[in-house]
Amino acid sequence: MKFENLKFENLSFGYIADNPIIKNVDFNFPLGEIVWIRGSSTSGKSIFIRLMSGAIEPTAGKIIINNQDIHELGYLHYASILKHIGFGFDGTGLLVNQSLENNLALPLRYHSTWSEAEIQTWVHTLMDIFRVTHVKDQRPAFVTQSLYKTFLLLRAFVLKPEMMIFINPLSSLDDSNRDSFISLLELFKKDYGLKHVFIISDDEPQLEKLNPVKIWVQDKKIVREDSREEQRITG
Amino acid sequence: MMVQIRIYTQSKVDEVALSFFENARFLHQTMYLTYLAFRNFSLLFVNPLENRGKIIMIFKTLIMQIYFTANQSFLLVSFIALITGSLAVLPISTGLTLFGQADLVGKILIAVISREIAPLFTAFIIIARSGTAIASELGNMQVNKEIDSLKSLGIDYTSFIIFPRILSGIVSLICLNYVFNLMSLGGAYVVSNFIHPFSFSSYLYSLANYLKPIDIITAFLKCIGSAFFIFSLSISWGLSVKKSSHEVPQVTSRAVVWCLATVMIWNLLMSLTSYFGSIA
Repeated sequence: MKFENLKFENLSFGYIADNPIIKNVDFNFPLGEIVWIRGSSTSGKSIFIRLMSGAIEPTAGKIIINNQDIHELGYLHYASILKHIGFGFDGTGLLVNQSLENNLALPLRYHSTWSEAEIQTWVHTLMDIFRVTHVKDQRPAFVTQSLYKTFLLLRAFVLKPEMMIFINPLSSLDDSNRDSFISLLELFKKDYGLKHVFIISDDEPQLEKLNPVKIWVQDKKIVREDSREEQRITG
Repeated sequence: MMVQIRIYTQSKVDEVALSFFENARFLHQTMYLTYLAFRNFSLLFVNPLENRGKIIMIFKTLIMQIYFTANQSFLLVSFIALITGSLAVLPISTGLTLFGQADLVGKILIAVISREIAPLFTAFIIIARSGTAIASELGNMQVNKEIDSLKSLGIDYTSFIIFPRILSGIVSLICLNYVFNLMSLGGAYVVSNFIHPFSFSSYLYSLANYLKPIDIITAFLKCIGSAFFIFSLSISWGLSVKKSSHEVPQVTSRAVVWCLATVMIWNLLMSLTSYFGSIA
């Protein structure tokens, strides 16, 4: 699968009907880059990952991927696109009745035709990068928040996706795992076909190392950092 | 739209009507979700080689669910069945013996236990044991964003979560119904011997003589329908949880009430059909 475009067309969303968080947004997301989506804590930047993952639907407008409105595709068709997008959620999302290792292996067992040995090898390779293999048989409820977060991030890499979307990826990680995450992103861009990365975060100085394109969610709109600077200068 | 409609609700009758149609809409959504689960599972067989990972995982979930539902309820069902059969046979056997009709014990037991009590009581046990577990399990999955997580992984939760639970429920309830029959009729034989002793072979002959295909078919249909309602409603109520864990016990108790009501209505309809059908 090749992502050619990703855009919002006249998109609005709000949890309460009369109070949209974003309103009539037209935005063409830059592809082939590491994009850092920024904004204040109530600006609504986290809804980007929820809209893309299908957890929520816009109240108006369209989400266009490869010139197709994803809500006209039907869920099963969109699910085939979602295999190529890795989502790194924040907080919750692991299956509590499965071990951490099975949580990583689940998407591979479901989607791929790999043998169990190949799946185990790949999953262990990823766990070794973050040095978390020692907890692989534990259930999510029995590990620290830092380890839980690590496995949430690792699960996003498991299917070797072309696009990845993270929300606050570095929070709750210790310094060495933050460096491991940055290294893993660079490794996947170099060797595993990762092309488009979106990171939603308040303020993570370490992300500057990735030379990201910055876009801002403010005043119910999405703007690029260079447009924002222009507005500040002219405004 | 519901807020606008509510403005026009003025009397108790209006409130009852609104409540009825809201409940009908929920039932309709439940049936549609169940249809989607079966449809999406069957679509996997359009490309079985490509989808073999999905099919294998779903079958593994199905087997585990049958284990949780049937195997772990086996002892409970057996115990309740023994007591039920023993209790049921006391007035039956006593009364028939008084009138010199002890040979009809088999006929009455088939009519009472196999046709009516076994499917109903088995369904009640499954509601208490599995219906509550599934409603709370799915409710907690919603709170923990596990369903959203599965969606984001491109995993179709209807065929992965819903389908195996409903199918395993149907299989389990049918099997447990036959266990209930065996244990209750066995318990009935033991107790009835204290009132009017007769040989096991004549007891079996009596049962076999009065057991008709319509009894087996009716019980079978009752089990399928009951399981279908129990598991689809429990799943639907579990998935109705929005964000907070305080909703989980609320939806679980609502699921139990809905399951009890629909199971009883279904069993009544099947019984009426079989009785009026046999008279006709």
